Amino acid sequence: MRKTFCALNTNKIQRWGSRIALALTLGLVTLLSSCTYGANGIFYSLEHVTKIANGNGFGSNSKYISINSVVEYPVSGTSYYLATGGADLFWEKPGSDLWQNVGTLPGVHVASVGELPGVGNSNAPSGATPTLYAVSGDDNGNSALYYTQGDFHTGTWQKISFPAGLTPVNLVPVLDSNAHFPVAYLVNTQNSTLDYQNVFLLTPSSPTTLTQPSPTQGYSLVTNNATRFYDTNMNESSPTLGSPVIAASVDGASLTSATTMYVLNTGFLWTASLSGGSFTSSAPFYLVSGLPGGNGPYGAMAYIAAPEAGLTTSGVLLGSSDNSLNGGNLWQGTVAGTGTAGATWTTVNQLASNARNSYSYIFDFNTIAYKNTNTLFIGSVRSGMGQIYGGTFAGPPNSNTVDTNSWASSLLEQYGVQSFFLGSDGEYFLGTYGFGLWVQASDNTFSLQ
Amino acid sequence: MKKLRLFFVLFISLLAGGVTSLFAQAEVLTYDHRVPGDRSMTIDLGPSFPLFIQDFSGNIGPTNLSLGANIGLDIQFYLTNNFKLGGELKGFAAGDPNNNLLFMVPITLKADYEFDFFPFTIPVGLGAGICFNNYLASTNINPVLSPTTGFYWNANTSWSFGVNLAYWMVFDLYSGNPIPTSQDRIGNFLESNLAAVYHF
Repeated sequence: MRKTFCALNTNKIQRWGSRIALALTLGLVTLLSSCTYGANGIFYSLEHVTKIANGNGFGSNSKYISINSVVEYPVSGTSYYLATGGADLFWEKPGSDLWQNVGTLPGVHVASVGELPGVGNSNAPSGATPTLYAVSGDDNGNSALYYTQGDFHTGTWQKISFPAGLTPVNLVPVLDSNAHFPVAYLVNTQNSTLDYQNVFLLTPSSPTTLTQPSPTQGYSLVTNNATRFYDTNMNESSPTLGSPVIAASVDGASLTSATTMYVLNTGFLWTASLSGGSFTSSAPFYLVSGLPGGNGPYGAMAYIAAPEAGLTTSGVLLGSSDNSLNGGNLWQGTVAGTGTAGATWTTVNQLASNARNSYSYIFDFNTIAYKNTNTLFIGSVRSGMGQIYGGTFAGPPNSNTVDTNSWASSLLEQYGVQSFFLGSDGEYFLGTYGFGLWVQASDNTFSLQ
Repeated sequence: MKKLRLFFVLFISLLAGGVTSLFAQAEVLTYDHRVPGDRSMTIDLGPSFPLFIQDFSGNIGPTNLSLGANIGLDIQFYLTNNFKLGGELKGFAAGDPNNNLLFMVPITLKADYEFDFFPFTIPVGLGAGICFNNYLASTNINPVLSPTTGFYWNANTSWSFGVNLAYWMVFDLYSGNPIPTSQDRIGNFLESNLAAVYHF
């Protein structure tokens, strides 16, 4: 018996061919309509992916939380790290990798944490009482600024009172000229109309007293200039609410040795004169005009003193942000003098071009930080496009010679870094935008806390 | 005694002839070559080996993928006794170091030439088509090219069993917006499968 073979049947082939073609067409249309592109190419991402350690401190959902501030705080000779990002405040004994809730802090929605005068900061004023701050709110949105001195595990938190009608929003560190230690904090507040025109200063020498620097020009301008001022960070559709301070820096190693404070919100840069750790006038802030890249928006700013990380000139590093043609640029600039409008800026070409080549215009610089002497500045990005650019400026910042080593970028490609903190034991913390808190150990490996 | 001897020889001869005849019949039932108009449907299953990722400058990088698994369905038509043409749908999955999965679904037009060595068949072919890729939040469609070969035992007229190998080159290409062309890559994978072929 032989198998009865089918004769070549053209009709059958055509029928099957039609079915397959129809299925392929439908499938292709379906697949094409489902295409979604992430931050990077798929195989490129795989090529660079690294092992993520399991988080063990912030609970089972640790990898899904944001961390926007990390501080170090001493208690009876032992330093503790504290971190938050909008939920609880957590603490860890260095090296333990075990994070626990600070149960003594009122409120459950902790916006940010701060500490003065700074553990390991050799330039901190001697004799200053270590003070731990937190802006925390309850479920009804009642936010307050609290502080404690002593053991935060058992001590009480005191509320710092604000003028009537003002609610604290968050703490912004005023960084020293190495972008390393906070030398003071600015406190953003909102009033009943939800604008941000009142900010306050906390200093190591007077850690529980608020100083409200009044603007010479700026905040009234800010709230009235609807065409220029809008807050992309807050996703506001209305241009009338103003914008909180997002970065602050001084040109000295401490508040007392600094002569100028630089303050940035998303669209404007101000300067204020300092003397002996205080503002030189009751209305110290001047708006700096002529910023690079039009009117921003900007996401990162820090005054960096040369020769830090190879910079040959001191000045303000300013990083642009957001989905604009200016996004992903980094400039260095010099303000001609406090209270004057003039400023000159140069583009950090290499860094900017690399950033823009990688992500076109969807790029956000949102912080500039310090890792160790002579080696690293960091501009990080978010918008789901986490990259860290760090390196050493081998010449003037416009010489295209900055090292754009993007260490850890693969680790954080899908998430951005929004805060950095260098601990006194050398641990380097990276607070991510929705992917927990990471620590870089001395061997440059990362682990999720 | 002579009669008995003659009967024995005759019996042995008949027996031998019958067995030979049965064997001959079994050969016919077991396998015959294919002719135009025949169809084959192949189902295969096996491990996939992510090999390397290559950019268009020739630089080689790791895939960082674990050993994967794949399953496939292939339907082909014999246009000649040895040449068949059809399509293949495959599914592939492998995990990255963080247990995030790369999914690939290649859909290819496939041509095979079969070398027959009774009762075995060695097909050599080439597939080309598109590959649906998904990893983390990204999903896209890429061109794919896949040379294949195999080794099959034709168990009977309807079924063949064997193994096959497929080399997958997945071209992960981007337009430059939002992902730059500098991230264009070629993913290289090797599949080895146990396969069953149904002829109808």
